[in-house]
Amino acid sequence: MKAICWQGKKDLRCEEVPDPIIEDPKDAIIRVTSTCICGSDLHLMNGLVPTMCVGDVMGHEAMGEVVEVGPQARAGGLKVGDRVVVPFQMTCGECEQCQAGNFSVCQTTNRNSDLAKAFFGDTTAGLFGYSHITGGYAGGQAEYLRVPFAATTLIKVPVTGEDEKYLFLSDILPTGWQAAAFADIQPTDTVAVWGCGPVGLFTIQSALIQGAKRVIAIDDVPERLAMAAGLGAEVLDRSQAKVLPTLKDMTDGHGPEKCIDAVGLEAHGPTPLLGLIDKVQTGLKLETERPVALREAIMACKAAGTVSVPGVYGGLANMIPLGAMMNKGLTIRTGQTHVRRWSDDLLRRIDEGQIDPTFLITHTVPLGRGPEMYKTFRDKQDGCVKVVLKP
Amino acid sequence: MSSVHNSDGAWRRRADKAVSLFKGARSFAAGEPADRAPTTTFRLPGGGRMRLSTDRVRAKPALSPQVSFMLGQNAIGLGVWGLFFPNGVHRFLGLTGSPQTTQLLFGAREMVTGIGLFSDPTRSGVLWARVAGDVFDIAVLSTLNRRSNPQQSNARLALGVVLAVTALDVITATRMTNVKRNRA
Repeated sequence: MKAICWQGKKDLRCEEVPDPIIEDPKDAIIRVTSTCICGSDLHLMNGLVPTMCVGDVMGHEAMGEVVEVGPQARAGGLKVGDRVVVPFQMTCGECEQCQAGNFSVCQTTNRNSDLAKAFFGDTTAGLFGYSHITGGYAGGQAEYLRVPFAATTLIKVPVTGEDEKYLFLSDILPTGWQAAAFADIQPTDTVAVWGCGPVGLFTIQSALIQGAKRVIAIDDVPERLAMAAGLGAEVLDRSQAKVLPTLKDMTDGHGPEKCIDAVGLEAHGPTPLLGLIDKVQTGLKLETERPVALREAIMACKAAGTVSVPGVYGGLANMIPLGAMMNKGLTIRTGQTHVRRWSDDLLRRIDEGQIDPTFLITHTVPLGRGPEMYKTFRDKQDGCVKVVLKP
Repeated sequence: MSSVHNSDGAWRRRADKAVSLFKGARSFAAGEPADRAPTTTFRLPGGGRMRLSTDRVRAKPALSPQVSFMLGQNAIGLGVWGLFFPNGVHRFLGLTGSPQTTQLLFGAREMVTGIGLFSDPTRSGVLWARVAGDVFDIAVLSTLNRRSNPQQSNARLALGVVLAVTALDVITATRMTNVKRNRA
């Protein structure tokens, strides 16, 4: 079958790979009908996430049709023909963390838990197409996908309706929702969101649904800011104004009560010189991230406020303003998204028409054009916000 | 996709030859069914063990990006030598020109192409630029490979190395230029 494969830093290719097979009684095989390129795939593409290996199959946002089930998956309620969304993480449903709803740190599904413990101090869940530290599982940018722990991982969706309506339940919609939920938004709160990529846009939408008084969207890409404004956010174009003083001016001098970093480890700026310092440090391996948005979010946040971090970080970062964080008494909430914690509620909201996730799709192309679209997405060419691939 | 269909118990019967990723992965076959993910165990300093698995669904590793990346790393090393120690280059090869010329034509050139490939090994244009630089180096080293040069043996050694690296550059540049990333 065809799949998008990582062959080295910035080298993605659509290649032939072996077909997946049922390897465990809890497995199911999915015929992928739609899959996406995620912003965090760019971190993998750019070689910023350690333990990627040449030949790895990319992709962690997919949906499709069940075409084969192992005996235990069948006993768990899955059957051939089910239409399913594949969350980016696998969940066993039985471990201490799954029982507590902390599905992204499932203690069972990461088969490379030794490696995860060495890197992070404890294991995370197994993820699809997301390096060997999260299990080394093949990803969903392929014609078929093996889903371990299928009965407790997959989200069944109605058989009718276009894929795009449900596809983002796999990652970015619950990620935006969780980012807002972790900010514990109150009706009097002003929420500032760094980054108006797909996760940032869903975060803005979620913050407004969850009752924020104001949402301020921060980015420098005109079409993304226009989308944010269309959702009801006030926009702050960071190419036109300095972020910190402008935010203070917009919030009576104290800053937003809730700040959300939806950018992650490959941020740019805030000035060319400071951006260069981060680039040199990452080049020399003195840090692995460029946490510009996180620094700004901590500095901007009103005292006793909350900083929520859905943006992806992978390693070590310098010059984090810990003094501001401590002395202002900030609450930091972060983590990979516990997709199954939110998916039933979000599925209901989609079916009731409260959320239409399709607004951010700008490109739909065949799977074979995936490598080309990675570059389009990375370089924000052609107004690209979200790419859907059709195997 | 020939192997995926709905049949009871098929998951046990079908075996697919595992594609190994890690060194020592041939030992996977001894303890693991052939239709399971390739897995191996490493010994860690201090006596611990680490078990690692990869997926059998993966592409054959491409060599050219890795070679390109290594060429970039080596070029950065040579760039440091040429930029910061030009007199050392002169002493080693028996060069008589100005150190500034060596810094510019050797050190800076290697550094620029090295950083180019280190940051993006897929840049075939940079690889071809390296080939052009190799031709220049071969011309210079050929003139130094003469009896009147007290460092002739070093120049001859360097010429051999550059010829080998040139072959590697040409092969890598050709392969990288012809990579088909998209598929119909």
